[in-house]
Amino acid sequence: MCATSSTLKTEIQQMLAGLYSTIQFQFIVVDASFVFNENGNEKNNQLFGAFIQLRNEFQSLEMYESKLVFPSVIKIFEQKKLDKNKTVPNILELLELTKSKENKLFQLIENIELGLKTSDENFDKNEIEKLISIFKTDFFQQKNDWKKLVEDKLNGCKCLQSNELISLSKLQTTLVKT
Amino acid sequence: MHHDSQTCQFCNARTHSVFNVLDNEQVAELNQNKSCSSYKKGQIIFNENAMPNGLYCVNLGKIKLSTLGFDGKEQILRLAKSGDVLGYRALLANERYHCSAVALEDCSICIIDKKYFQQSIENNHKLLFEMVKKISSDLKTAEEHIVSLSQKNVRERVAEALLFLKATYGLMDDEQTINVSLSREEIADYVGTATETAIRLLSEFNQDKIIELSGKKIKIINLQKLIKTANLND
Repeated sequence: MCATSSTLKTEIQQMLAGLYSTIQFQFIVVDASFVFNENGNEKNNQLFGAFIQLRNEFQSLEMYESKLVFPSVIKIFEQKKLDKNKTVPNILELLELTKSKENKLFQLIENIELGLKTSDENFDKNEIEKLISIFKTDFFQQKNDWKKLVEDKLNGCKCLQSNELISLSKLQTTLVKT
Repeated sequence: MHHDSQTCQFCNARTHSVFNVLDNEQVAELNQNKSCSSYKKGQIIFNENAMPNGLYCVNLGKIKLSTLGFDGKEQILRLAKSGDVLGYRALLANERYHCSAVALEDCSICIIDKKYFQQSIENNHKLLFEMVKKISSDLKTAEEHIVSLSQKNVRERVAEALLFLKATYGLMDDEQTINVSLSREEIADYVGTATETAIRLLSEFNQDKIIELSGKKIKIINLQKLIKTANLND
């Protein structure tokens, strides 16, 4: 097996087991904090709506990545021979789609931060602020690092320089971009 | 003989409002406890966060009830017309208004005294029941609005699922058909919705000429529209 695919697999496993699990756990904690803060305040209801949107968007991203994006990235680096009957995943297009969904998450985080400023003063903001912090300090940074790693590997993996799949994947991306 | 439409006894709007159950004596009493005002198009009737002084009853014209979202964008909650009452939620809950009311055209609106209204619904079961019917009807409208908003979100999800599938499996030789056969159940799983909803939305995309369905195969015939529907072009 190519060392690159092994590195990427480890990165994916660490990201899913570490960062993604932490976020999922914090979603549960925040959900519970809304139940305990329930007082029918209109602004809190709006904040809860924004939180649900964020959770749905994150879970949707996680699903696409675990079912389509991550397996496609591994496939590209593991498959040595081009199977003429199969099409090649367009990695850079997948990364761009992922980035667009992350932009949506960023916007939702911004909305929640704004919402916190106008929420009921008795509302316990600790857990939701913790969630925002995980996204802002860990999630977006780690996702940028991951994307950079994949792009670097696509361009620089020596043992796969001659891999037709990599060349084709890059070619497809060039065609899409032009 | 000329009857003033702002007098409750002769007000046409009252006959299709919650006050249609009042008898003549009660109508006369209502008339004593209200005052009427005219509002120009665009004029604010009440402001978000203000405390209510009474119940607004629309005699003539259309009104928009709206609030500002976190992003500063206006969100219209509902529209009101002749015979509708406004501001009852804040009045009954003894809270501040959670939205603003603005005249969409020149309006004539009466405000019914807060204390009188509260006493009336305590003493008049028919009026109370009319208010419950009104609240239930508005709740139904609000719930339908929530469903339509979440449906809009699911429509986006179906579009983005198709884009992810295209990028993952590529296109067939015709450069339009996604090179994978997925059941409607599998597509629904990607979207995170019920199979029936996925079927209905794919069918809508088909009608809107965004895609063409042929069994389990999906042909993208308008990629730009699909990207726009997915709302992923940031």
